[in-house]
Amino acid sequence: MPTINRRSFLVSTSLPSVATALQRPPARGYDVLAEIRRYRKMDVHNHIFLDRGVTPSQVIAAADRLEIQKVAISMPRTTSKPESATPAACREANGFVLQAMKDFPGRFLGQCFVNPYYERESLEEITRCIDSGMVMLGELYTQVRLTDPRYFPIIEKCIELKAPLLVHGADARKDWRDPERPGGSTADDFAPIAARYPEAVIIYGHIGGGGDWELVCKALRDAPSIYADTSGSVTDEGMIDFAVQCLGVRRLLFATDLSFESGVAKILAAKLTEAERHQIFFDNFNEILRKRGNHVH
Amino acid sequence: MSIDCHTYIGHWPFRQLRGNTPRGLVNYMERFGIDRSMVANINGVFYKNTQPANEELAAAIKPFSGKFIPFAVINPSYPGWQHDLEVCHEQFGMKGVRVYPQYHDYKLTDPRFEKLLDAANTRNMPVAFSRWLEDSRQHSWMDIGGELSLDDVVPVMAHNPGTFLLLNAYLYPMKDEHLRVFREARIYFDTVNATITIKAWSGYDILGLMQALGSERFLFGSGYPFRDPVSALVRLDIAKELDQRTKAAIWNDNARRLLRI
Repeated sequence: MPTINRRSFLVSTSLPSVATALQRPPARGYDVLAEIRRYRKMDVHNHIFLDRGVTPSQVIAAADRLEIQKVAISMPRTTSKPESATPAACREANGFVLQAMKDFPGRFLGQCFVNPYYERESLEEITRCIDSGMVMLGELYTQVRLTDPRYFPIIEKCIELKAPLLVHGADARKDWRDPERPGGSTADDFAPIAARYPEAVIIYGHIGGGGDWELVCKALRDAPSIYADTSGSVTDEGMIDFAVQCLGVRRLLFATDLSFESGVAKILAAKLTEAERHQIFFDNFNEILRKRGNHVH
Repeated sequence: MSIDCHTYIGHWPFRQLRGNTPRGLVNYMERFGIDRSMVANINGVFYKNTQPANEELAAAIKPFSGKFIPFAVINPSYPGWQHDLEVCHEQFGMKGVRVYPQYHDYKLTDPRFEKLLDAANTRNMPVAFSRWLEDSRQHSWMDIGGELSLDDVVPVMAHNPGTFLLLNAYLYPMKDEHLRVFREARIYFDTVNATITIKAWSGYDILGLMQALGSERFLFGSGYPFRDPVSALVRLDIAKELDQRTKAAIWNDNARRLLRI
């Protein structure tokens, strides 16, 4: 088969109009681009990974395609040994995020990444990051489990600062009864911590992250202060509807976690009203940001 | 005309599916402007003898003339599949074959599978694989939890270059050695699990793959009702790099060429 290059299928204005008309994609009753444009969007869970080639400019280019106005980013150190994400590595990662915020003013919402294993350094880093313009903590990873007492000072600091806390939901595993990473926080960890700190704003990271989303939604049902973000590469039909059924629209926050197209599509595909889509795409997160005055007018 | 190359009817034992009937599929197709769907019966994944699933499919889609392009689920490790294939092709008008070696417990190097490829090729029926039906990270304790990797599929293509293959939900992870084989094979891909934005963990960069293999290898596919019906639509519609002619081919012409219809 002949191959083509990227340039050869760039939109061409030189094609004869008749030929172009004959080759148009089929007309459809559902206008995808209009649906994408219809909603303001803030992505509560995304990343830059300079060590893996995911740059701020790539993230902005992808966000622009999907008309996502603001993107909350972190650069977590995705190691699992408790001591592995050192304070210096966390500071370096947060420095990259702060730089991205400067390079793309108004587009990125900074998330401070820390490892609760290092209490003193983490608390200092949170102060530094929030004072520098970050709006929340995220995506705290699998070094320490959310129910571990080493996490408590971090949560208490978030309450003091009125800063939301996004935590990696570690329910992706080969067997739901056997956590892959001992330091990973599963849905069962979020409920007790919500009971201990009902005033904290804690977000379960990516119900579509490969975990059993039915299990996650059912486990979080009776923890009303816990929010869940909709990101992840899983695009199962019915996932968002089930999350709404268990958690209610108010507790769901739009996110992509680098799965941009499907991140937007799964909200469009859900059986929601237009007002409910506005809530998930934008309003719910904006209300959370309002607590510290970081909301969008 | 628009064709979805990747849909199902039938029951999935581990999670409730919606829209998994011919009527449900037609509702999806009408809502999103799809004219025809290539469809197979999930029940054939679980029946040891898959032929009743094919019979169920043939009967179920009968009232929806012209809407569906049925694919037979064939298990080459079970006796009598040759007769089943003949019935599916000649009596039921099925246009392709879907195989589930993970569930039917045979290797792609099994000589019986090579015989199926030969038989399908003789009948001009493409053979479709699925990387998975359920993301293995969230599988039920009763499900097998495995996935068919491209490393499994590549030797099949190397040994059977004449067979038309359709890989469903397969654009990840793609290696250079895969591409070398794909260039010489009659292989097609659907658009499930692809990405056109950032190549991180959500799939292979579909534009890069088109550049490497040619856009004529790609068919629109949704994976419905397992996957949400809008992701595949978004993927194509925001791809500003693809001209109208290329998009039209992905929607229709490439599928027609694969099926020789």
